[in-house]
Amino acid sequence: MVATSAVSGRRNLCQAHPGRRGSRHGVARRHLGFGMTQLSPPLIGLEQVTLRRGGRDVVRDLAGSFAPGTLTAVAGPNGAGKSTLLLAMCGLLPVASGRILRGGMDPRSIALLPQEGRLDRSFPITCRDVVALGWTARLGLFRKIGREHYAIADCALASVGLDGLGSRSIGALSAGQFQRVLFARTIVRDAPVILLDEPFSAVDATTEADLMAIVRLWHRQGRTVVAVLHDLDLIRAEFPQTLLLGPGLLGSGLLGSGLLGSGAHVWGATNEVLTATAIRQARLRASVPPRMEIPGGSPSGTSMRSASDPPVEAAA
Amino acid sequence: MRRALAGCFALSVAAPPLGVFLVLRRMSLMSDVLQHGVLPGIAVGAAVGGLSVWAMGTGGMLAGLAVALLAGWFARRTGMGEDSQLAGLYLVALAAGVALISAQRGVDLTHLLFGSVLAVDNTALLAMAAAATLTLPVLAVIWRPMVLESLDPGLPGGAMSASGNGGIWHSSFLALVVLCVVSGFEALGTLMSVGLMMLPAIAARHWSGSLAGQVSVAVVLAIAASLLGLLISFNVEIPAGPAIVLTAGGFWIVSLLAGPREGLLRPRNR
Repeated sequence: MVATSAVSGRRNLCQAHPGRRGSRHGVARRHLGFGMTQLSPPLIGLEQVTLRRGGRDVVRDLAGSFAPGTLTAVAGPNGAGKSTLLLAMCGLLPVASGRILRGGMDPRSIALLPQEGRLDRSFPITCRDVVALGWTARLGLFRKIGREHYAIADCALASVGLDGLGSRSIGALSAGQFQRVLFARTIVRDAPVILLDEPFSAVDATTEADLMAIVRLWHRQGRTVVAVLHDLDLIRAEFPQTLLLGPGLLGSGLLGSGLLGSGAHVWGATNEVLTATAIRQARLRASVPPRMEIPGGSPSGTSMRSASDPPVEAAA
Repeated sequence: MRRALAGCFALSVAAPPLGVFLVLRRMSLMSDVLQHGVLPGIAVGAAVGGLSVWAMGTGGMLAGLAVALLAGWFARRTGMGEDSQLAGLYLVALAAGVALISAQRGVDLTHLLFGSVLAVDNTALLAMAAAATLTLPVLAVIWRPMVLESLDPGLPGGAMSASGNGGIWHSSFLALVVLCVVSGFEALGTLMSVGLMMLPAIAARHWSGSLAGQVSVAVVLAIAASLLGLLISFNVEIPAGPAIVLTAGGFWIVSLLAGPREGLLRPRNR
């Protein structure tokens, strides 16, 4: 399922780090080992965090922590504040109340891979430059990005399967290729904490598999990885921890309190969090109109149900 | 005439890179807004300090910055789009400017609106050269942050800076635009001083697909338009502003029709 690709042209630079040759993961392991001096991410703690967007609370009283080196998925219905949470964690959005503790780490050391639709793909820039701009996080805005930095950017492109496409303009890429470019840029950033906002929403199965391999590699290297995802099957298969965000204040009068704990967030090991009941409750509290509930299956396939779920009951 | 040429050359080097960024960020009409918004500032400057370039230039700068920054502030506070706030502000500013200028005796409205080759004295030339000399290094400094911000408008610096630093680059960029607009008004007039900024930049898209390429082509086209436009203005006795802008417009039409990229007459080979 994961194709291997030969490393072209940059062999002498990639071999600066010893490692297996041949497979793409060999290349990835080699160059991903550069500069990993202090790769010990701190614990990221959330203390009764409330976030506001557009004048209303989207996340209320969220408490918990991302332990160092964990691989966590953030799930929940649309509007539950998943992207907002990631923005707050890397310091781009101020919290309305509560605190986010980063153990003294500079928020700029947190890499965020934004949602696919946010970036302007008509900007006239090559893939290589987009990836090399990832160095700005470590070099600052004004230091020169030199040949060795570009060489590592080329390695990163090779490791995501885009070897040789460095000089192509990003406007000429498919959605899957562009997502790979963004992953390559995140590789170059070499951050101890990595946040992914719906990284697989617009890509095909092959790209998803290739990029999940990179995520697994980051996890093995000890980085803290948090990913917002909609695909519950993927979460169950690959992510040991899950944070299930309830829809906040939407439909808060529908059901009694206390079903999912304060604020309707559930956080813990995936198999304990993603129970059929919790998923159903989260979906019902998003006030889906009863006529859209189709007993026995949703039109979009397995995105919110697993095969072992009992049939959906009508809203209470 | 020579002074006008030198001044326009200075403008042709400094303004087109700004124009390229404006086009890429879909802010092309911002230039139009600013060139009209500076008018009341120029009028007040003329009323206070006479027809000196520095008085009018300073007034124009202040007015232009006020329009640009106020519109952004209104937009953020009211939740309405920035474009509507800009439109409101610049229309008010333009009308106020025309009214103020008309009320003053001794100021030729035509000259202010359309520019005059003969009005470019040494002071004006110095102002244009100074503006260019200031713009280019500042642009070089903010180049990378501008690219990062254009690529990812939601995350300043590509998720590098914590909340709000991106605003500095955007404001600096707008300040540079106002500077170029104001510096050109002596020769080109306030109605058209952005002609050299925008038309070459818009035309350049048909010739190059890279940022550096577009900037280079835009500068070359602007220089050519200045030269040709001033020659035409001198010989045909029309004001310099329209002559230069018409020439630049002619280059744009040619690029639109026959340019190698996204041209109208090229076979569609997508």
